[in-house]
Amino acid sequence: MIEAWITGIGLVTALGPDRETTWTRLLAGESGIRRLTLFDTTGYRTHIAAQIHDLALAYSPAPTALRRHTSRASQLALRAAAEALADAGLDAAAERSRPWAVAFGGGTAGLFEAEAYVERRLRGGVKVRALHEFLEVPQDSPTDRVAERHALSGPRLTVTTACSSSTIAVGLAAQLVREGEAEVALAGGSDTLCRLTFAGFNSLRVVDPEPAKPFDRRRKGMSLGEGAAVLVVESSERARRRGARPYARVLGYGVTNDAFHMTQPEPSGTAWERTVRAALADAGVTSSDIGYINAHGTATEQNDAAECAAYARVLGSRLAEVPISSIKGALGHCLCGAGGVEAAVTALALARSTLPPTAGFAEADPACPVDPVPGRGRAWTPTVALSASFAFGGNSAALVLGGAP
Amino acid sequence: MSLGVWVRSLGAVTAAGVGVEALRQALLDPTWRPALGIERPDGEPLPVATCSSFSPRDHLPPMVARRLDRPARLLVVAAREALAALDELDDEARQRVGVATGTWTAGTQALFEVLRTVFLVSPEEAPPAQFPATVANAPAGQLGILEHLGGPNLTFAEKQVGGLRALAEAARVLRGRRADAMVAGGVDEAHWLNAESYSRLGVTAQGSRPGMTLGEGAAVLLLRPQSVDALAQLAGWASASTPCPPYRYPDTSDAVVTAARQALAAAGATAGDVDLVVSFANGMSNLAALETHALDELLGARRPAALTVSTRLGEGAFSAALRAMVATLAVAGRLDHAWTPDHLAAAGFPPLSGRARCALVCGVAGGGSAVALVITAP
Repeated sequence: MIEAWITGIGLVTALGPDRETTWTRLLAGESGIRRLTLFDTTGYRTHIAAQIHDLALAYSPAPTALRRHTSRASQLALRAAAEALADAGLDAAAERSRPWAVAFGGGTAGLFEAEAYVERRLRGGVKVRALHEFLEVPQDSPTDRVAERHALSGPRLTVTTACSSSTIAVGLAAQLVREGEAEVALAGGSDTLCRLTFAGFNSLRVVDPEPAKPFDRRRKGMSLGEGAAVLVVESSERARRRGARPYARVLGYGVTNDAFHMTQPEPSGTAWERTVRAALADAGVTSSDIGYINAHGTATEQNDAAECAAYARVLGSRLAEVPISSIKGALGHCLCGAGGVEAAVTALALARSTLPPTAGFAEADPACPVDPVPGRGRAWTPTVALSASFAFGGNSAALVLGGAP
Repeated sequence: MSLGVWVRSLGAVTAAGVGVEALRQALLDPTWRPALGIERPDGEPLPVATCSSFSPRDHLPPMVARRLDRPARLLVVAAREALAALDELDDEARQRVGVATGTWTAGTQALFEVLRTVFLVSPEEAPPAQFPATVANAPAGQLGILEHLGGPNLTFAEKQVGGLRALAEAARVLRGRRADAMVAGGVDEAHWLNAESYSRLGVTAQGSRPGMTLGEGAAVLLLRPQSVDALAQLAGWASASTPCPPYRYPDTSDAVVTAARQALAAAGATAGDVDLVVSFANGMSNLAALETHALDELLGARRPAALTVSTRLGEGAFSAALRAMVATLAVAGRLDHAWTPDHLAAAGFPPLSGRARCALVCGVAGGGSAVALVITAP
């Protein structure tokens, strides 16, 4: 049976421009949430985010023609993809044929750039002409850019289900590989900060003016973030042939809809329980196999409580025994890129026998009676891990990852 | 390989009107053309094929309509037409019904409203009721909430082929037994900002300038893994891509040909079985040339019937799903003639005449992603 193995990982986050920097600082309990400078936040209710400050966006070795008119979101995706391919030991250019798939979560894409055009158009009227900022508004633009850069000719999917987008994308990529439609798939996603999401989430009063504190009694909401993750999902046959050692295996995924409310989670946890059970069934494992959960953990009052309620339903008396951490206190909520980043971190946790902590957590909340791995990274014995995402529209998804064989 | 996915029923809201029958009547009239036009706040109207006759009040209770934005209204009305074919579903059965949509433009009005407020009023005044509708999956999410559909709820962004992608991935969901039925298709909304921007890029038809016409609407196919009462079989699907910038069509037809061949193989068919081609041309000359080249490579000298949808009802992710819908009508014997694409007529492809048995529905998006479906008589 063909398995879907994760053989390469690329990360660009507020904690670092690459996988190893991000991982090291994440385990140290650091947070990348600080003053937002990407645009002027005068007039906004909050002023911090997990912005990528230290990344020179000129990725290499992309040709100039490709770099022109390439959005911030695409540039993050391109950088993560290049790192992932190099990490996997795959030189796309050296392959004779590259019918590899790309499956990304599609977020704001070129909206950050387009906002500048919209503002000029609103203020300047119909005579405003510049349009290059509009070119990457379609949400599949980063997907296209990565395929273009690496000359990939396989299936190309862009899932846009808000905050669960790239979790589903990784699941679909694994399915493509398992079903033999592609031997290699680049999976994940990228999303960047922009005025729309910053103003929008602030308008919903779900952004904490201070850095997010998932599962903490004092939590007041999320911190927005930006980032990109690309996972090389490769067929086990191909990986074995070339002697590649995987970080982890994608055992299965589940995707369901709460059918409850556009922005509110179903509070009893029954809807998200269904998602997790669908993922476990697809993976062929049971709840007793779960050894770690990388939670959605946005740090909103409602999300964290509903999420813990769902895990209580799935894990029963094991709830307090299974470490459940959220990396959004460190990396912010990267929205459509979040699931990819979290899947990547979960794969690293499996490969390196170390769990990422929940940055910002200090005081336990009776509504969230879980072990959130406070402080710094923690050693563990890898078993099976879950990476979950819950989104606007009731779109819920969970990945089940297993350790390397 | 037979995939065992069938089309049970259809639903549509288009520039031709509300309902599949309005669409069918328009297709049967060779002279039918939509009234084009979308208002701008400070400029001349732009030619867009909008659903101008669609009034939510005629189809949705006021309390429901008020919490939906326009694309959600379009999708819900189309989906309800398709879902009416199913027997009454209890809550447990609804948990096993999913949604898959493709969209290119859903959420534009909400996005514009939020940004207008941010830039011209104050970020603090950004409207919280509008913000959730800025996500492209809002129509599918709202449909799931309204109809209590708890199965996988997927939205795909793939520009002009989003509707075909949604159908293909809905079929994958069914094949993987993740749902018992899927409401699948596409939805787009018309907005002057999109129309103006694409007009300035020079890709839309305007005056004597050839090009595409943006469209608005929703097209839904209800897919099930049972053949009972089916209109058609979604017998095969595949996708491939040609690397190119996101805002350009590819220079070659390779991806379309590859996807079509793989879809035919998945359907257990060959190019020789195809007796209907649903054109993906949209009025842009380079896309018409790409399609003609692809069909030459795929079919050789064979010339099956051809019909067009997107050149009149407008381009968009919804339009891709409409093409699959029209193919379904043709193989179900509910459409025996339709609009003929000029470029394929010039290349010797005859108009549809009588019932088709095997329809090939392809599409390619800016950026180079191609999807192909094979839809056959049940």
